Amino acid sequence: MRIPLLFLMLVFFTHSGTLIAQNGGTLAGQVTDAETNEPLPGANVTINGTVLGAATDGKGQFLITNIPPANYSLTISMIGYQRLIQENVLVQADKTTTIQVKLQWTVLETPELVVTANKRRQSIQDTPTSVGVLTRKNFEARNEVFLDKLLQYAAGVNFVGSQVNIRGSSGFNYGAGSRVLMLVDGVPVMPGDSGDIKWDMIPSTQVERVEVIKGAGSALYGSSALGGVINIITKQAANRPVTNLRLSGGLYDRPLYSEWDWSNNLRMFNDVDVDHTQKIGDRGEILLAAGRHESMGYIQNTAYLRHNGNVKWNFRPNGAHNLTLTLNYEGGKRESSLMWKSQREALEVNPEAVGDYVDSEKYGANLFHQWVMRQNLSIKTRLSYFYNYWKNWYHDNITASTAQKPGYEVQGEWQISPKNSMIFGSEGSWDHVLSGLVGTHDQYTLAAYIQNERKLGANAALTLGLRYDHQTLDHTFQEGKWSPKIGFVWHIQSNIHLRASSGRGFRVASLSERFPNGIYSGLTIVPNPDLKSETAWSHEIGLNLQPSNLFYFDMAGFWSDYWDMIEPRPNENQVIRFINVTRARIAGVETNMTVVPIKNLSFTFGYTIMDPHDVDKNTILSYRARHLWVASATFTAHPFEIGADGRYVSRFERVEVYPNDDRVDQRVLDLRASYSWKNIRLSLNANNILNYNYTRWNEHSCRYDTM
Amino acid sequence: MPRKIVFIPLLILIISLHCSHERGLEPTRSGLSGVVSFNKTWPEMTDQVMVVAALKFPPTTISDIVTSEPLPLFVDKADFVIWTPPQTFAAVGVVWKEKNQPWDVTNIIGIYFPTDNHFAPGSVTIPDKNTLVDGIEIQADLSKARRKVSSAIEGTLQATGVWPAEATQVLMIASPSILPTSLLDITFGIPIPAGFDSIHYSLSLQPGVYRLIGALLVEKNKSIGIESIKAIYKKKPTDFLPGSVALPTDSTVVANVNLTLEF
Repeated sequence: MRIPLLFLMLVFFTHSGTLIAQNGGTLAGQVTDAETNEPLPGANVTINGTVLGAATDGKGQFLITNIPPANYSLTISMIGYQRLIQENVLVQADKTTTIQVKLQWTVLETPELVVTANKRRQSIQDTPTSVGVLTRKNFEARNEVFLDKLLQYAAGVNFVGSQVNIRGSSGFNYGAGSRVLMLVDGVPVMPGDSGDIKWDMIPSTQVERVEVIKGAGSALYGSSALGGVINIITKQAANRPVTNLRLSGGLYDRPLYSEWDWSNNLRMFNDVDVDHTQKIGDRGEILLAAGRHESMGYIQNTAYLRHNGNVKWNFRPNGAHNLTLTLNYEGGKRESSLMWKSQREALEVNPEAVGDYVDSEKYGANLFHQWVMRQNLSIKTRLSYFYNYWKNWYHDNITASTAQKPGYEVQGEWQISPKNSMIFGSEGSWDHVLSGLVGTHDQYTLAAYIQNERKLGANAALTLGLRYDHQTLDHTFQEGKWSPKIGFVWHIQSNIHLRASSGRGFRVASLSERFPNGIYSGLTIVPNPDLKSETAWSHEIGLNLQPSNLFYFDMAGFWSDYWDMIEPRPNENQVIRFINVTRARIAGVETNMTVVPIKNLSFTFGYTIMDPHDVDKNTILSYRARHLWVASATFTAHPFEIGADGRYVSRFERVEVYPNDDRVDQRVLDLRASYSWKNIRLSLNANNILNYNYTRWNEHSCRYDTM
Repeated sequence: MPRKIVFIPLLILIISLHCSHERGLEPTRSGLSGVVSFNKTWPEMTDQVMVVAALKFPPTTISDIVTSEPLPLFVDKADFVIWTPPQTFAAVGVVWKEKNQPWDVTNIIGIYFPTDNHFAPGSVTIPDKNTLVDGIEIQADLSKARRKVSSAIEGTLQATGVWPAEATQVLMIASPSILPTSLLDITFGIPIPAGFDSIHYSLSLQPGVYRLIGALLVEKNKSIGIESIKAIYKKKPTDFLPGSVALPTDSTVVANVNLTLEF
């Protein structure tokens, strides 16, 4: 009975057009740097206790219309600046209130607002779950194009092959399925056939920031969010003409050992990215971007040539409506190297696999509409379409696959009272797959969710959420799953925050886990149509404190119980089949710290210690590390900046294939330096300067030195 | 205070990262090498031949073996080298692969026998990470190469008594000779996990007459030998000699070849 009620609510709110505020006032202003008086683009201005807010444009200006007359409190925030709360801002009917805001720069860069944790914009201290944020500044400093290279510097995140693993949730899945859901601007972009994350979908140059939700996110995001959510928020179009050009080139160092020196040529790479944004008419902006990325590869048969094109168009017919259209394309050719030839020739592949490659193309089209119906109610609607095509040209297999994913989401944000807010919505998608790998299949997902956040007194808040997902596969198999969630936040003092959350997550087996069939680069994979969904309960308690603008500390203890975990298991002849293999428990502690010991010098650290336990076998889960370290140091003396980034991943104690092969931990140290002059930024990066060799899963050397 | 605390983890990180002399993985510089001599006629459907070194014999999973590069085909002799870290291999053999078929580590056409006892594969120990053990000579009998066929025997395997605590697997075996003179005369089946009461098996065999059909028990940390054979197929329980089964064609399947493991 609860689902029809939820839909009735949606129907009610989506048809309550008469609720639009009449004779509202307007709030306009500019946000500038307190020291330099330079305008600050991208600052967030929020009217507290309402759903109203805006981000500043290229001139640091903002405009919020249709505001019911009242006295308001505003929050103005931006990464790298101290958050400012401005009280007693009077908005009058049919009048424009103008304010001037000056933000104080701080060396301590801590994230301020996030949108992914609760599907609405809120302070990171108000979220009951751990959220990691990587900003555009991180991407520019590290000068990497693809996001997987950057995400491995986020605390609690590591990679097993191309598989992202947040707090031990994932092992090695041969690129099939993912326990981490990837979103681009809130839209799922994982194709129905492989169900994995396509890291090349959006180049880092088009990313504003990435939010990483650690822990089960199924109560708001459904299947695949079992181990976490990664939301890529792309750059906004601006209303003044700006053109960015990024040229990058480099080379891979020669292998440390002569036995591994397989190529007579210097291995090089180059990237070109350009984007342009400008105003269109009085009420719109457009952003156009294109990129070309090429690498000869450090390992034999890993060269690639990729292209991307992106369009983002904003249109505001009036103050109550905001329309955004995004079009994304990514495609090209990528050579494939699944396994090394031998540890003696670790950077080479078997002769028959030389020349194996994959052609692929991805298209995404999204239409977003935000309708601010009243100062306390907004409705967001999204229509999306994602198309993924690939064709393997392997020596032992030529397979093509297309996956289409049309989808929708309607989401309401209702500020019922200053102490009570609600998120509710419905989401659906259709995966239509024609694949030589998994066959022809149709998978439908329909979901409804509701989440209520209630303030308990002045300093605490309780969040209750529930989502129901209904999946239909090929009109034969049906499954429904409830995902409840509870969260609690207590602001002990203004700079000390306690959080706790508990939620149930689930993941439906992807088609590539359920129906794979064939030989791929020497590995034989067979189907298992009877795979059950895996489920998990995740719990977390965390402490966040920022006693001064020179010190930020966050610690979280987490505990996840998994049932029917889906893992690939090779048989005696290494024929691989995905099975519901085990019950597992992953518990650990994660700490994050940022410190500014002297002016212009900042350190950040993240350390995660885990016990990924296979309960059935009473041993460690395969392909999981017990210890993860990340650390960065940055010294800024304008126009120069130098920095170092390090990461450590302890040795996988258990693997499934080739358990007798050498395995080592991962120790990587990168250096960077940059010089900025007017609108030009010159940067130099040297990665893996320790010349350390490791694998991200066994049988595949992964070390790379670049400059 | 926090400003001082921060240097502690930084110090730990710098020590663990930079002050280490280790460079992670290194190329393997140890291993074993030798010569394979091929006897009889090369099958036309030969796709690849490799030398494999097995940590236990018979190898039951690919994880138990390391391999050489594919050897040259249609030659009389071929040198091989297997680069592998220091360890002891229970056996070294030659494995044959048919065109359009996956690797089958039990498709063995030659085994390294350092003595005349062709039931005792020679173990090879690589003592340290700079030693290449040389002089491994293997005679490969190309007539032992098993093509992909549909011919098979199948039946029920029953167990009576208490399973030995160290029992891990059961392998069905078949040989054209009642008294095989070499391990190469024996065809091994896919491992069956130990502990069953009764199980249906199927053993793929080349066409021919098989005069010895049995079940062999694999125990943890124990090499197999004649004493590992725990069941022999007999047409009647009172028969003295093992029962023989004929498979005249590539598609003949003989059912009801039932055996009882007695512990």
